[in-house]
Amino acid sequence: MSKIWILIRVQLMNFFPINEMKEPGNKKQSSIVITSFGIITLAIFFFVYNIITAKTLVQVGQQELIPAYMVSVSSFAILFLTIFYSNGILFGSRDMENLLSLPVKSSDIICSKFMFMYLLNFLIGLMFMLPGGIVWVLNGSLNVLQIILYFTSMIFVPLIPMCIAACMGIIIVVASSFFKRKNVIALIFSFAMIGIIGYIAVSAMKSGNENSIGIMLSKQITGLYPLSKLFMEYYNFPMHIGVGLFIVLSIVFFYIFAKMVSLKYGLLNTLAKTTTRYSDNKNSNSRTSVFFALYKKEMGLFLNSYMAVLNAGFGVICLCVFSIFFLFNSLQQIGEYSGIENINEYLSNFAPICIASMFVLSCPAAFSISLEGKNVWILQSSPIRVKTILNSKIAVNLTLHLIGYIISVFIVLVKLDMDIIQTVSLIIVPICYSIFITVIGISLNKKFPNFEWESEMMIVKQSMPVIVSSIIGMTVLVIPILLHWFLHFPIVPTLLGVALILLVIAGGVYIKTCRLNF
Amino acid sequence: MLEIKNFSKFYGNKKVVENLSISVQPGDIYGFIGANGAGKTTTIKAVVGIHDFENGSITIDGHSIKEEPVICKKMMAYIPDNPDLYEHLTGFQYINFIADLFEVSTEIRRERIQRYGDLFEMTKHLSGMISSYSHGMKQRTAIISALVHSPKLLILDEPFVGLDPKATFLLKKIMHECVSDGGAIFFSTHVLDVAEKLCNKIAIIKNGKLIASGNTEEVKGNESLETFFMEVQDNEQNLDTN
Repeated sequence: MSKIWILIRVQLMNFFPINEMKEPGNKKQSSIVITSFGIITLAIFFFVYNIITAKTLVQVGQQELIPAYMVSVSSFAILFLTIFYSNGILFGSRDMENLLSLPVKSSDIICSKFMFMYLLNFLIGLMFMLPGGIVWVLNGSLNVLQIILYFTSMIFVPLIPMCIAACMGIIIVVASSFFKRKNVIALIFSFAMIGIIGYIAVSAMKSGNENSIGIMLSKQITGLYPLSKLFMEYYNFPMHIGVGLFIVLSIVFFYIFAKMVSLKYGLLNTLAKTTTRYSDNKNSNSRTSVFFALYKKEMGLFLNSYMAVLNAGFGVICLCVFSIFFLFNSLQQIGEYSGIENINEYLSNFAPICIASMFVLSCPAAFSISLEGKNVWILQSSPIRVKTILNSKIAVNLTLHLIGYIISVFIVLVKLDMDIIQTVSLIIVPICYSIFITVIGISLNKKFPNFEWESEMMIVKQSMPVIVSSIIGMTVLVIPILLHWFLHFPIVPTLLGVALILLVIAGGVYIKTCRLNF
Repeated sequence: MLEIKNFSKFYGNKKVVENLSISVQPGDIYGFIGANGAGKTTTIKAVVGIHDFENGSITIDGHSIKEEPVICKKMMAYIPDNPDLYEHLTGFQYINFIADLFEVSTEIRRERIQRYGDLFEMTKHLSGMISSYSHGMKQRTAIISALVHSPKLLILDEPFVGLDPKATFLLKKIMHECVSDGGAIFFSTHVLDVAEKLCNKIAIIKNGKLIASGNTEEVKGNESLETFFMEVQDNEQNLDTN
């Protein structure tokens, strides 16, 4: 146990900049403060959102469903998020070779890695379970045992979804290792699994078509995460037994997972670390421009990073999937399904911001400089202007957006009957948002780079530029909608106005960023 | 060729290099010697434009690395002690990438890649991914990419680490060829025997301060470089022979 704790402590010190915080005058402190602010803002947002959700359940007389609802939603969120980074933490990180050479059992390494991932997921679970629990306790006639068991269960909620996500990760690692282009195959498997989870969520939401709101909600909740049934009260099966059983199940599930994985941990790690067997015999020596050489390199760097494509490609892939779904379903069907009466007008107004929101989710520029890692010396010592380097990274981000843009805008134009101003908005607004988020992402990464990462996951998912650019992106998405809802601004001109302002801001930030040294 | 004048570098409040001055002339093979943590890599990284610095000046052929970094970098090539190359590229792709950044024409790069690839016995491996290379193969790829644009000034950080005896011999031969064509070489090393035989000039740095510099024979006198180095490690007096 002591060895597991030592391993966790080192990972925490490496992941959270504890030493940098202690060191007076460390340059990273401003970046740490901004990151902390971003994380706290997100946490407060989720906390308030879950309090409102729990209170809504109380208002409709379904307060007894709060524990099951919070367990279900938090488990689903943990499962979904863990898929995006489990392989980055559990297998193939840079410290693995050192760890495997030390006198530590494989099960201790896997436990420490898993517990580290658990700590991150525990915080996610806490954002759901704690506010829900507070509202539940304040609005129900509960005994002490129920309350103690609920708050104890918060510790165990992340275990099963994490084990499931990690198992999915293992399947991806093993299956893709049989292929020559293992990165591409791993991405296809990953997106397929995310698609399956998305399908389960949508099916769960559709399953509760009942007259009683209580039955409908409980069907939806258990459809999303069947184990949440243990948090529901039945006449012959009191909740405290269910929660107790849930805790025991979580421990047993985790124990079996750790034991099974540790048996083949070395092999799994080798498979994850095995580099592609690809070789290129077309050895062209043709000269290309500096920009194009950097662009090609940058595109290769992005596409060869499983973590980068999985996380930063998600928004654009969702946009393409939604667009194709939109193409093959009639407007009438979509209107009936969504409950919106004038669906043509509604989508004509909001399609630009929907497309823009997917671009905000896909911002590889926000970690593209950090992704250079230990290779950064190559760019730093080469005779290239900072502007050219930044342009190549911006171009990769815009290329990614362009794929989604062409598909979605074309389909929207074909399917919807739009007037001229709506068409102009559809064409211009996503472009402005795309440029804005790309420039903000690259400028934040330029200002706060991290080249000393152990796993790509650290910069792709949890770095300050990624978190802050996401918050800025969400804020600029919400602004025109809020102006429309609360101040009754006409949506299309507002979108166009905000988009043009963002374009001007992006221009200013770009010029300023190009002046910085690399 | 390379003029370092009163160069100082701080990490936070800690001064890691203090008032360092070195002059490398065309035709020089200049060895930069010091214990671990003495400030060699910091100095080299400032010379090639990776590190910014607080005091002093560094010029390449009269151009300041601070004011005109692109012009300076065009004239030199840098090979770090641990060549972290783009692992997703093949050796050919990486060398061509560097050649593109240095705007080397198609004909010239073809001829040089062939020549140095054959010389370092890397031609048949260059189609493979860099991720599959050993340390020595990466080092040889980094050397070929450095030579593909014929730099006037070669900056090398511990160049002989990880190279096999044949590659070491070839690198030394290429270093001689480079300076005989009017170029200059500035490199750090721990291998004192190599420095003694290869370098016409040396500089010894200890705790960020230059404690000896000048012509190798004059600096070490009648002693071996190893004996001299061990003596100056214990004795901090300045032994500048210039």
